[in-house]
Amino acid sequence: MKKLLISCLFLSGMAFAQETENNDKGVVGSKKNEVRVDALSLIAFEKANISYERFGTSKWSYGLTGSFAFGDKFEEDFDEGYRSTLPKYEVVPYIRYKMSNSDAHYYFIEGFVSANGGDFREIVRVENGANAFYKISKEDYFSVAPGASLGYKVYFAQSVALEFLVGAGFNLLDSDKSPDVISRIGLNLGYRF
Amino acid sequence: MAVSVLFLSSCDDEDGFYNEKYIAVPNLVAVQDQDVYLVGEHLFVAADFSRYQIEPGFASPLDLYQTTSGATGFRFSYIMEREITPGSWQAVSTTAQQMIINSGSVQASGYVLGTATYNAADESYEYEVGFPLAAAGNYRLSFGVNSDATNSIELRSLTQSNQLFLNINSATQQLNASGFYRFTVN
Repeated sequence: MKKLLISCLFLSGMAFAQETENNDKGVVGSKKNEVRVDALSLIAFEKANISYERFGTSKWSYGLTGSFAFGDKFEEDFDEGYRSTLPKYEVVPYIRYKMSNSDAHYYFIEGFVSANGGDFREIVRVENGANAFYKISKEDYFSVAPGASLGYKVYFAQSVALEFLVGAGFNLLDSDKSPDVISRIGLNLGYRF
Repeated sequence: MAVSVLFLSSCDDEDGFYNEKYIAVPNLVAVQDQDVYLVGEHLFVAADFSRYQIEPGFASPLDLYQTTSGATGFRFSYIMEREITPGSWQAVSTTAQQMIINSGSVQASGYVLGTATYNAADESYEYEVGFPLAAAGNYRLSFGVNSDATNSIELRSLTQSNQLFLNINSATQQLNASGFYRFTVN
C-alpha cells in the first residue's frame, strides 16, 4: 500500500511537472532558498525533521537538516527492552548534485554527515560487597555517520516542493553504543523562495 | 526492499529483548526419586535454592533477588505423560486441587506451571509439589512446554515490567537423552 502510494505520488508529480516544466523553468531556478518538513518522520517515527537548502547557480546545492524525537512510543519500547538504543537528535549537513537540467523535477544524489546522539542501554554485572547483581545501565551516545542518498524532487506552482529521499550512513564513533546504520529516508514537503 | 532493509537496520544494533538476562546454574530443580511408585501416591518435584547463586565464570555469587528487583518467584513448567499403548504417550491432566502443595504455587491442567516462591525468612526460592499418580503404567515427565531442552530446566523470574527478567538454564542429570524422567507406577 505504501509502495503504491509513493508510486502514485511519483507518477502524478512527474506528469504534472512535464506540463508545467516550460513555465517553471527559470522561475524555480531563480529562487535560491528552500525549507522542508519531513512528513514521513513526523507520522511514522514521531520525529520533527526540518531542512533548509540553498541553491547556487550550478547544479550543486547544500543545506542542513535538524531532527529530534518527540514521541513516547520509542521511549516506551526502549524502557521495556525492545530496543537497545534511543536516538534523540540528529544534525545533518549535506551537499547535493542535480542529475538533470530541469529545475521543475529532477533526481539528485547527496553526500551527508549525520551527527547523531541518544541513549544506550545494556545489562552490566555490578559487584556489591561479597555478592553481585545484574542491572540495566543507561548511557548517552554520540556518533558521526558519513553517508549518501538518492532522491527525487518535483515542484508544484513554482514553489511547493515534494521530495522523496532514501539513503544511509554508518556511525564511526561510540560504535559499541550507537546504532550501526543511520538511515536517511524522507517524504518531504517544502517551500522554495 | 532496499527501503525496508534501511528501516530495519536503523532500528537497533541487534535483534532481541534487552530486559532479558540468561545465566546457567545447575541442579536448581529436582524430581524426588522413589524406587517404587504406587497408585495413589504423588510424584514430587522440588526446588529450594538460595537467592545467592554461584555463576560459572565469576568469583562472586549472583544475587537473584536484587538482579530481578525483588522477584517474588521463579516459574518453570513440566508435563506428565502416560504410555497408553507401547510407544504412544498421552498427557495426564490434573488440577492444583488434586496436587499436594508443600511450598510454592502451581497452576495445572494439561501441563503444570510451577512457581518457586521467595521465602524472605531464609532468603531462598522454594517449591515442593506432588503430582497425583492415579493409574498404573509407564510414565514420563519432561520440563519446559514447547522447549527443546533435553538436559536442563528453564526457570524465569516473575519480574515487574521494565525491570530485568532473569532466565536460568538449570542443568540436571535426572533426564534421559531424550529429555524425559521415566518411571513406572504399580
